[in-house]
Amino acid sequence: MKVLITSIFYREWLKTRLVFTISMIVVVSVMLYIFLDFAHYVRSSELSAVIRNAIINNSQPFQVFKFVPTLLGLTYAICQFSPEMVDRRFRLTLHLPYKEHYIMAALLFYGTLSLLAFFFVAMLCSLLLLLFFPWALLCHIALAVYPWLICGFTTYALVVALIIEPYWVRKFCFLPILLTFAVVFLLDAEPYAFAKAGWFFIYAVIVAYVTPFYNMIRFKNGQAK
Amino acid sequence: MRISKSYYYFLLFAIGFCISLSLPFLVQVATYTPPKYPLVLYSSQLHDMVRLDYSDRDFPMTDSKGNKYTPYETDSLLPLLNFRQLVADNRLPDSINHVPVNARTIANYQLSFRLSPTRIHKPVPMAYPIFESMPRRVGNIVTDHVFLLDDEVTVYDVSKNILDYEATQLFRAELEHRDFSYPAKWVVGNTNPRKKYDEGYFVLDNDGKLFQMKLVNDRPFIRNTHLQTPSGWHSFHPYEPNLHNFYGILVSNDGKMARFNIDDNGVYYLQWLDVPNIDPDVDVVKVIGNFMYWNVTVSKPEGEYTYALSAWFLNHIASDFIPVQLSVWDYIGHWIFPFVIRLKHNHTEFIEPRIMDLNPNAIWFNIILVGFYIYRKRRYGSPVRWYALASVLIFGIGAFLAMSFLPKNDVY
Repeated sequence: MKVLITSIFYREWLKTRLVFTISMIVVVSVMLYIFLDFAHYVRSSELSAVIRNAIINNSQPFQVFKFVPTLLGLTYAICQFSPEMVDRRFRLTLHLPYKEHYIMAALLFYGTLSLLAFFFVAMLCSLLLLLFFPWALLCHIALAVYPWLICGFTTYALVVALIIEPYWVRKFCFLPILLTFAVVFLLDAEPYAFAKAGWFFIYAVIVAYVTPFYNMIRFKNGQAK
Repeated sequence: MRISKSYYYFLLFAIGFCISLSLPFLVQVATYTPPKYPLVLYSSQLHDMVRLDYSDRDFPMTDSKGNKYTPYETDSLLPLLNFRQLVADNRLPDSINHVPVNARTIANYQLSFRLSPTRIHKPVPMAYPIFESMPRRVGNIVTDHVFLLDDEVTVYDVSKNILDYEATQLFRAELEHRDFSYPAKWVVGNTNPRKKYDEGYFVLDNDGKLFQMKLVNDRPFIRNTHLQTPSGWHSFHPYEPNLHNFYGILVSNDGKMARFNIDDNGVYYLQWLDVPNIDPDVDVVKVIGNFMYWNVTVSKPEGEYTYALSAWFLNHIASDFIPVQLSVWDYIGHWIFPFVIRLKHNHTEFIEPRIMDLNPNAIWFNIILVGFYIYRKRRYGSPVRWYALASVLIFGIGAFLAMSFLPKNDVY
């Protein structure tokens, strides 16, 4: 298993290193922009008024970051699996001397780990806001961002499922499912409006990560419909 | 390679869920029209409930006997609502029902506020700003402090981004002295700094005691109101009128509403609104008041009830009811969808999937879908499985489309 994961990771890294680097630059740039914009806002008004605004009106300094996880998931899924399907290499990958489920899991694990790396760097960059906010308030604001991060993971997994689906009509049928989940996570709402929907997030992530396995089996069996 | 049955059924359920979430929503967007109700008020001149609908520009007002009135007549018959127009036309009377009035008096007693379940069922703020209730400079109520109230009270100085130990100890000592029981069930107050004065926050402690908490001359002012009700307090809706004549509306767990205030001796007292009990988690209450009458409108699913109460004693004078107007969605929705999954709801700010609108009438449409499903299976020579028929019969169009999208012959 260790050999499988190492070799799959190395192969995927060679394929996606440019996209990974560019995505990391984009994430850091967005977070730096958020910090600079917020610093300008604090210089324009008083810090106490800004903090009161954040507490009373739930003003969200990370609003610019809203669609970044979704776009990262979408881009990474396309960059990781489109070459496999276009060059018809995916079937060869599934013929490696391991169970197909383990191979698919390793591929998905690589993509998920890359997304986790992006979000971890974004979280580190958000610590710059400790110059303005107390730690408790920053946690309160940052935790309101987690539906967007979940959306990134589900988008990644569902786009993977969409790409490896062999039947073209079914590809379009998966789009409404993808859009339904994306709309739910990206709804305009107050921070913590999703506080009671934790079970739904877990369910959505499980559904998203099970779907590629179903499509992989159909692809392996050569099912056209 | 076999596809595990568990994969298949899991995905079938997931796709059925997505369809049950999105399809009714799309149909409702296409067919639903929200009900529009005219404004219902009590006329001090006619001594009757009247309905105002300004979409009819010629005769906007109708009384309970069906008589219609022009805008000119409406202004005179509702002087407490249209006093500005009467002043502009120099038609404002010197007295209304033998009570001397002027424009200033009428304006001071005007009030309009709303009690909505979404103001109760919403994410709790992380911290509450502390305002100075007796500022040395007029209007300067904003301070640099906020407080958190969970298992203990903590005060932060946001201008320096530090914990204010002195203020924290003062508040803790005062709360302990007043026998406050942690944690608080709710903390309610007007957090908008753009207000003329501040009455602080009203806090319900763990034992159901209601406290008023504010900052007076840089010192914490915490007092037990000793206001009790047998069923306990459900919620408080603050209102800060110009004349400081009440704090807001308290709602008990059994749906009674009370206006509460403090007398000259510092004793808090209640005045119960003489209206039927409401469902505080569902009903929306609007109050339009003046110095003579309070018009209390309760919006329920079946329609709107409006009650005219005396402004001083809150006793019932008259009432009116307007039934809800059904839209196309109300006629067709419960015939097609056995249930609807909604994310957002009018009663709460929280977003989570909820199964709502259970409609037994949809069984007839489900029977048609079952027939169509059997016809398709027979036509293509596939076996008809009883659990597939049962799921279409119970879950309706969501299950039917999910099974069409994921045919059973994938599993072998």
